[in-house]
Amino acid sequence: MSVIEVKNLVAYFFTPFGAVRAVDNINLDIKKGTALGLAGESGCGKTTAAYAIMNLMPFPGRIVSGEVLLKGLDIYKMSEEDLRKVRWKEMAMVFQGSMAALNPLYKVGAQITEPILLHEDTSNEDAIERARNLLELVGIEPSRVDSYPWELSGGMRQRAMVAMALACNPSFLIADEPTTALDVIVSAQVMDLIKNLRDNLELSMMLITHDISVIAQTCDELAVMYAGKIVEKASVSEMFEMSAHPYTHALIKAFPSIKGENRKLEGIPGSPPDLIDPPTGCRFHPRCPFAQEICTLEEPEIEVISEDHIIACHFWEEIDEKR
Amino acid sequence: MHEKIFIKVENLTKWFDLRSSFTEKIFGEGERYVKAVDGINFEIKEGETFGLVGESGCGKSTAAKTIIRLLEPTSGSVYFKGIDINRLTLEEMKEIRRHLQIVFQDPYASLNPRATAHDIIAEPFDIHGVASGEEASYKVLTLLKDVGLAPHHAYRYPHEFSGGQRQRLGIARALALEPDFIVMDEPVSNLDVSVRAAIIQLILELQKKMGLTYLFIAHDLSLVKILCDEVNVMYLGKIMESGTSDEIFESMMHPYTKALISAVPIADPTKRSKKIFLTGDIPTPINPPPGCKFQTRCPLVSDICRIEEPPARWYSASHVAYCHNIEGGEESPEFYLK
Repeated sequence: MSVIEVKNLVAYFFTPFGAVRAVDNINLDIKKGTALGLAGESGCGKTTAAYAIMNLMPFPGRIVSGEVLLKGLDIYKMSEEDLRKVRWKEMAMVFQGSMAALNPLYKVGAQITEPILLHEDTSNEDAIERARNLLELVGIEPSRVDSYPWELSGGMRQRAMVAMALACNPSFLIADEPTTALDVIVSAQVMDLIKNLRDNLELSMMLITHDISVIAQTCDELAVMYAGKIVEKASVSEMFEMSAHPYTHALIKAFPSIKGENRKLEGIPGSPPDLIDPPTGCRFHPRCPFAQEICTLEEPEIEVISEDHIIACHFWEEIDEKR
Repeated sequence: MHEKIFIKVENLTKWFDLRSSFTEKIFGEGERYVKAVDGINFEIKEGETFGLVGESGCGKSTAAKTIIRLLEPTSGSVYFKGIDINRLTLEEMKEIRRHLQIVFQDPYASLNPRATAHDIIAEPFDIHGVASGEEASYKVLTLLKDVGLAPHHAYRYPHEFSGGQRQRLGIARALALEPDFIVMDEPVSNLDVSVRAAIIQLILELQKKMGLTYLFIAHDLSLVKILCDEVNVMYLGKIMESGTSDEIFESMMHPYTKALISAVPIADPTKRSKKIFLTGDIPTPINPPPGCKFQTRCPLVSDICRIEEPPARWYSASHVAYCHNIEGGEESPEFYLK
């Protein structure tokens, strides 16, 4: 069963200079208990996609078209009142940058109990008790409900953010760069926590990160996003074994691996395009080593190349043979 | 052992005094120091890339800054080509400093926002009286080319550059005086994935072309693996284990190194590794407990670790780990030299 289905989602930012096409027609389908990793460079629209799915687009952003079905119900068709009932209760998000996302003036306990008190008919005492249990669940001393965010270390704050997202037992969780800016050991702790929670609570997840090795270790599926579009999506094992899109390939090659032979690191020449005026045709063509004339003229269609493996590239078959 | 020793660090310590005022020094509750670097020893050979790794707050940046004497050490010595640089007068130090340069971590904070790229790179020429006027400009253009920037970039300000380009500028500045030794303090940790690989390639190419020796500081172990010849693992101001890159990544002995390496995610879904978890964060380096610094998080901890500093265990002439509870190894590297 799909917990979240994203259909033809288009979300732009309307600036005085033109519309920034941050999310431009994406499709996703996340089944119960599975985790999808969304990868791509900074500025490719990953976080905007997350905000659009939560229907939290910040000004001047707006959902232009498309549907997001949460357990079959289109959240864009819900009233503000109904939406408030499902947001955080059914779908929650761990925001990027724990330092900025927690309010420094309120105790951690108060911030975790806020959604509980809003959504459920419980007493303050019960809510605090639940906050204590949640902190314990994420490996923080329950007595820390009385601490302020700035009294916690970076890793603890990130865990507190996860506890906050889980406060109302959601069935779908978006984690936006949950380990960026954390040290290796602490980030391994946070990722392990998220993985265990997923297994124990049957959470469906969308993990946003630019570090595809984190996705390799924790997710079932990997979707690669470039300039507002999903260019390839498949199971994680298929992606790492036989990714066919030149961008996916480049992204994997840009990361050194700690295991196995040392190989030459290859950067991706150029930089991500301006999304107000993205390149015509395939948006990756100015940086693609395989680009031909057709790539500059026609946008590649999404092809299904095997069960659950989709790709948008004119030449994936030929490129595949050359490798 | 004919390789030339370039930098030798002997019992180097750097403590920061936390007693702020005069009265606190006299009437305060005794000494409180942040022991950022607490007795480290190593040798960096000519032409190699020497890696210093560890979590944030383990003292790696302080160590690097003390080595090039941007900070005065509390005790210990640093020898550059046999010269004890901490005994030099400031005038003599200025001469030596031409050979010791640094590329800082944050390309957004380390470049003067009100100076053009040209002025940023030419400033060292001015200070050291190397070149001026047209000659300086010519050198700046050559340096820009060396780091992959174009001549027309010379008159731009830092805010007109992307993160990767700024770091190229930082590297050009470090190269300006034709140094032999460059400290790379997390040069790519603030950069985006695709840019990171390009900067790493540049760092490697420059080393080959100019015969540079690097001290490379990083917390990203997979980068250290591809870049470094030798790796030292640091924790709370002490070296825990050191060896060649292969020795550290393939046959590490110290429980901290093992935990650190197992925590790195592998870009291969078929190898979901068993991780060794350390609980909590790195403790504060203010008046740490006696014995092994790693005792509070170590999975192998025993009573002796809380009393005595761990002994050296040598696994080859270059591979040493400091731990009470690991097996094998010899007491001295001499064993392997016979």
